[in-house]
Amino acid sequence: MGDSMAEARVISPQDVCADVGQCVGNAAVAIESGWNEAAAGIAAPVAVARPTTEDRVAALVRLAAERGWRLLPAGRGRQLSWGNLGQPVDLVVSTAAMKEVAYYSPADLVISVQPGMTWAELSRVLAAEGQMLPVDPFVPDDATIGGIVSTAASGPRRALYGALRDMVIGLRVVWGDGRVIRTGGRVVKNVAGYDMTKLFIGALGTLGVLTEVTFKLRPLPLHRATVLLSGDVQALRTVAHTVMTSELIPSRLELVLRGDASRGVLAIDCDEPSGGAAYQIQRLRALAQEQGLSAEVLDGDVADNWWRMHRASAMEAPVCLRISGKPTRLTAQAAAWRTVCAEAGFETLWSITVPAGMARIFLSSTADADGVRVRKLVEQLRQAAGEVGGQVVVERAPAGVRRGIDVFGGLGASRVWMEGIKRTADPHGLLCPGRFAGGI
Amino acid sequence: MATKEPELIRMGQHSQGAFRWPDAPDPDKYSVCVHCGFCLEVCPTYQEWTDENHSPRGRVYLIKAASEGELPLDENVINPVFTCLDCRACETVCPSGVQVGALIEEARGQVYHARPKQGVAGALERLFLRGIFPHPKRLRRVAKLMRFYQTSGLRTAIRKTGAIRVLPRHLREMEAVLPEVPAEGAREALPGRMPAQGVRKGAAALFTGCVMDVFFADVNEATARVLARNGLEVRVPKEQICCGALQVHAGDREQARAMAKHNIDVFLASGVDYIVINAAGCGAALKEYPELFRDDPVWHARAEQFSAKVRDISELLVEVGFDPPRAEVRRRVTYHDACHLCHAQKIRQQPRQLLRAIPGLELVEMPDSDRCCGSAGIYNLTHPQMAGELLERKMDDVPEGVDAIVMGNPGCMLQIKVGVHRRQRQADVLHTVELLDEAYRREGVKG
Amino acid sequence: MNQEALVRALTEIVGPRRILHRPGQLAAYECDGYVAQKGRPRAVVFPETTEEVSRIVRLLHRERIPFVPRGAGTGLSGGATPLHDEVVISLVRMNKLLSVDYENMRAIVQPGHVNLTLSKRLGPQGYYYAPDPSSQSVCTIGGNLAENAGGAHCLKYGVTTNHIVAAEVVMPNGDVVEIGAEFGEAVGYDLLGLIVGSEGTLGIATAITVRILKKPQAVRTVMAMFDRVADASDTVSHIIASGIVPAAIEMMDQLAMQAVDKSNYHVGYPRDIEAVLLIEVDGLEAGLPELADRIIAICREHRARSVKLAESDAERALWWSSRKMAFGATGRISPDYIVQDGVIPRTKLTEILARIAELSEESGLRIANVFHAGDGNLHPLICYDARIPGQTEKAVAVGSAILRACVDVGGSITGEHGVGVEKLEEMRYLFSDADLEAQLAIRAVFNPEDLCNPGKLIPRPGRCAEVRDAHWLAAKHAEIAAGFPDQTLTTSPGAGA
Repeated sequence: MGDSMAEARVISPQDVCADVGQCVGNAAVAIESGWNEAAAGIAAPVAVARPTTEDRVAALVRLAAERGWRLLPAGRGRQLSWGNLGQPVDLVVSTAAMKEVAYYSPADLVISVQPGMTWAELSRVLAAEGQMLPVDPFVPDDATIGGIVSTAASGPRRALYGALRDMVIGLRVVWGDGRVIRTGGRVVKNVAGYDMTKLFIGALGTLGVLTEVTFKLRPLPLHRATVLLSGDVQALRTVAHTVMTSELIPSRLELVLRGDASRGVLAIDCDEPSGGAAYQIQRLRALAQEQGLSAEVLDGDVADNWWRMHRASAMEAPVCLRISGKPTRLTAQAAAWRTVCAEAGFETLWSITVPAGMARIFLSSTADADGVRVRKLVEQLRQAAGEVGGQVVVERAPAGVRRGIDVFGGLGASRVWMEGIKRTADPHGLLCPGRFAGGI
Repeated sequence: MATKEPELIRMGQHSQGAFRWPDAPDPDKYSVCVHCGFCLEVCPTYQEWTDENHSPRGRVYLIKAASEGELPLDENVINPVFTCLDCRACETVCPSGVQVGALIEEARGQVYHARPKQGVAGALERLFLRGIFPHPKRLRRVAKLMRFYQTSGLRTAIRKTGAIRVLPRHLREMEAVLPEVPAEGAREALPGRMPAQGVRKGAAALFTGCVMDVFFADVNEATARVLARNGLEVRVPKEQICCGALQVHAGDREQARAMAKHNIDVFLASGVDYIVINAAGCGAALKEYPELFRDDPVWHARAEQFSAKVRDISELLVEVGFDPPRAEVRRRVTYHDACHLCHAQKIRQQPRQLLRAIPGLELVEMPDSDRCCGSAGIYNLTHPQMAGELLERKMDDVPEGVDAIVMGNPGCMLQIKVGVHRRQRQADVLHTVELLDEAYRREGVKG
Repeated sequence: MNQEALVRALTEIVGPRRILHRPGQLAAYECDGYVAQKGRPRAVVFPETTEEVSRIVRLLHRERIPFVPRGAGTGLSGGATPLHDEVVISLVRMNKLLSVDYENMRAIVQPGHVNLTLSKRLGPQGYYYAPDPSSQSVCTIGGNLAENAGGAHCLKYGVTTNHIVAAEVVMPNGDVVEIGAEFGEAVGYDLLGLIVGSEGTLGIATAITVRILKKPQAVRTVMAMFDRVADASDTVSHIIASGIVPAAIEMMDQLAMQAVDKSNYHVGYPRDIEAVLLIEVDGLEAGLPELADRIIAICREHRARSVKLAESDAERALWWSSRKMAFGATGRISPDYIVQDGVIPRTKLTEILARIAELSEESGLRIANVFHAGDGNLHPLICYDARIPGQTEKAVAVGSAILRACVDVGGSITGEHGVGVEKLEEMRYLFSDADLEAQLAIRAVFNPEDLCNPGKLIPRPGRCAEVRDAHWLAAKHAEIAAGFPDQTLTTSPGAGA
């Protein structure tokens, strides 16, 4: 039904632009290319509105609902390569211009920001007060908070601090019918009503347009150190599992592998006070020696720099696949899966967040414009991982690669309930239809 | 329907309630319960059946509902009130300090009036609780009959012919492990007065108890020796009778009061400093005599005076100071907390302190040592299935490699003897004071 | 379906021994840990398998008969109280630990498994389950899931929702669905996140996968006594600001101290101090001395009368038992009490305490205060005597006024006890009609006829409140109007900004 309607639609970006201009002012709207290309895989210029207030966002959504326009909630467009290829949209509602701190009480370790604030800016604001949001997702520095929350992006720090769902405590959202909803609050403990906040984390904008996000924060660690162990992969694996089930408190425990070489690096962070850190480093050195691994200790900025470099090289890859499963199985199977990747002709960088049971495989650029080879690889990995209870998701990839597959691998029996949620939040089905798991 | 008058409730007059007899459950006791549920997980009957009717807060709730006329005093209230083991584990964890045990006993008193038990079971219960236990001489005659059964060859004959099989399993097992009944109890055998050895720390009257004195008279004798050894003059009032705990548990408070009055008179007249008891169940009952006289100020005061002197043997020895034995008893033992010692009397450390003071003795703690073994007075006779399940759990918890299971209550000793028998384990079932006595006696041998 | 047919149908599923249906057997299930409202259920069933739960729910759904899932019944907001002639589905017989994977740090339990039992079972291997509500010795993990239970140590380790990673759920129509993911990101909307804390209105979890943690290598517990509450509050803020993340910071005021000192866990608090703080840090042994020293120094800077480091496990255990018994122990100083569960930004602690003191004075009711100070979660214990006419209503009104004050300073009406039936009306302080309608719309996706724990958690918007609720509210407001003429219904002095 959706498709036949799509054929029948005649909504020109110019018309949309004119109507939107009346609603939010002409300066806040433009016709641009690239959005539908990245999110829907179709070259179709689209009106992009950049409202500056929640009221205007709500007005735009209401307008779109009235006119039957399909909407893409977005920020700076840095993560449009996440999710399924959706249907082309008629209007992009970018909250990139809403980038203020709405509320910050350092003594309460709580901040509310508008979704257009970049991750880098948020980190800077927090660091000025000696605080942090303990996520380190594999996204560009100028990705927005709205985008990060909508993709539930995560990184190595998940090992200790958990995922975004553990840090977002409140939201303001405009639903698909234009009503503004508040979920959660600004206190760290709160069980009043349904925890609807969680629905929007990772929903890729299919349930509403975020207009404010409230996080609970952590103080910056009193002391920072990273231990890098290098050597044989089997030995690194042994150390990783020993550390995970020991008294040690790694804030990151990332197994980094390149290609199918038999050597790798295990990066272990410690955010404990200096006495504890010293003890942990000493224990890690001893473990390294036992296993014939070399050990290097980085402190403070040097450590931060190593992680920045690691992220940068991961971000260079156009495709990221993610396998989730039991940590012991992930690390045991990694060798076999790396061979699969190598045989398919891909150069890979592996970043395995061991305690979280998440392996990210970054595929470096190959001439594979139509994505046939990547899709074949995904299929092979899904089969191999599925045998040991693992799950493979294409975290991000160019549009061409995502054509014709469900990057999430489909939904099970809970699909009917998810469709119900979608219908409730977006009764007209206008919020980037098709982009979410199972084609929702 | 008349409106409820809070004043009336406070005065304990439940004109519309189900408790119409004197000595009804005290509203001040059940109103303390805030229904938090902390008691659920320690209640043996709730753990087995997972029905809140058979949990402490459920029972208190039902008692309150019956008291306030919300529920009739029928099976739905009576059964839960009688499935209670009276182990008091709930009282240990209760943050509000609800006296669940006292409430249950008061409720049973109402049931006793409302529903006199019919048939053979009722007649038997009345025979034992009113006809035998309150009368030392009759009790003694029953004991002698048992001794005759055990020693005359009758027991052997009955076992051989298989006639024993007419008894249900739990009674058969109980029969099998019953210790040989001594020719006379300690109350008769011990002299009326034994002098203190060494520095005199006071005079203590020994409460010999009934089950203890019929089956474990030697424990009473050991108790007397240990007391004297530690500077206490021991008296054994000959006119004492059973403490009345079983009557209280069964709801026969009238009979219990008569027995209590008798004992209070006898022991207060003896003019001792302490009244010593080695049976946890009796000890708890003696300490709770004032509960029986809530509506009688004169006897309440006398009961208070009496209860203030009551001590468990382990409690007294630690209180006045005891001589650590010098001789070794090389054994590996575990300790079971009798409910009426640890929950009702809050005595946990003292028995362990005594055991640890014995050179050569190794004490291995068992998990959940304070969970009821299922004996619970006559519970193992009235509710054999639940009692059996609890015994199984208790025996599962007895650590490997111990050669004795030690405790401070004769009911538990009989019950756990059944357990040992059932599991074919090589372990003695002993009273704490027996080991201490053995250590003291060995001193003499060595010297 | 009449009662007889219903009983027959339920008996067919669970057998005759796992159902209670005679009126006299049902009284014990009239309420949970919240006793101000009661209702007798139609029947109580005790399923032992997911399949049985599913068959029961399918039957009740088909017959349009409401039902309430129940664990240990320790909830403090009436979440398990049957007010609409429901069938109670008790999950306490589903109490198994299904599996433990120590290497990968996951355990799977049935919903009736007791919170502390899990930690005890994991203990010998050096693991534990982190969320530790005060009722952890009895409350079930299924109940924890329904309420998104907190606890003293969630300051550092988070609440239940941060520790449950997957669940098998019987949906309100009887369908069995697996939600969440043992590891990594679950695909699709975060149904698990929605169902945790939904107070049994969106389904019944029948198998729950939790994260288990390694026990910290070492712990340091500090007890600090303060002459003035304000100094204790400032100490809390200062510790947090200094970059330390304690495992727990708990506070009690003088009246709470008096109550717990009458319980079986007597600490012996001085009678002339206003506040005591219990501060715990854990982690690697080598790192703790510097943290403990820093904390002690901060306490002293804020004029603590005495600061003491626990010298033994026994001492630490006593301090914690004393704290965890605080609610129940209030029964020792007052015949009745209401425990409230407000949350505030922790920087507003002094302000809110002053407001509570005012309310206490105005109403003439004593209020003891116990809090998880680290995360601003207050538990005022409002003492009253139900036998004195009007006191219950007054206590309820004071509780409501305290929650109002919490919302006014930017907080919430419940941090861990849930809304249940108790705080339905107070939800309106916090959420607009539009917010509430959105929540009802989400409920309707799963539970369109409101048969699964009906009437809990979300009030009906606007004036559609049921007659019974309206009556309750009227009584409450009459009391407010009579007792506190000009303050309660308007913004409190410290509000705004």
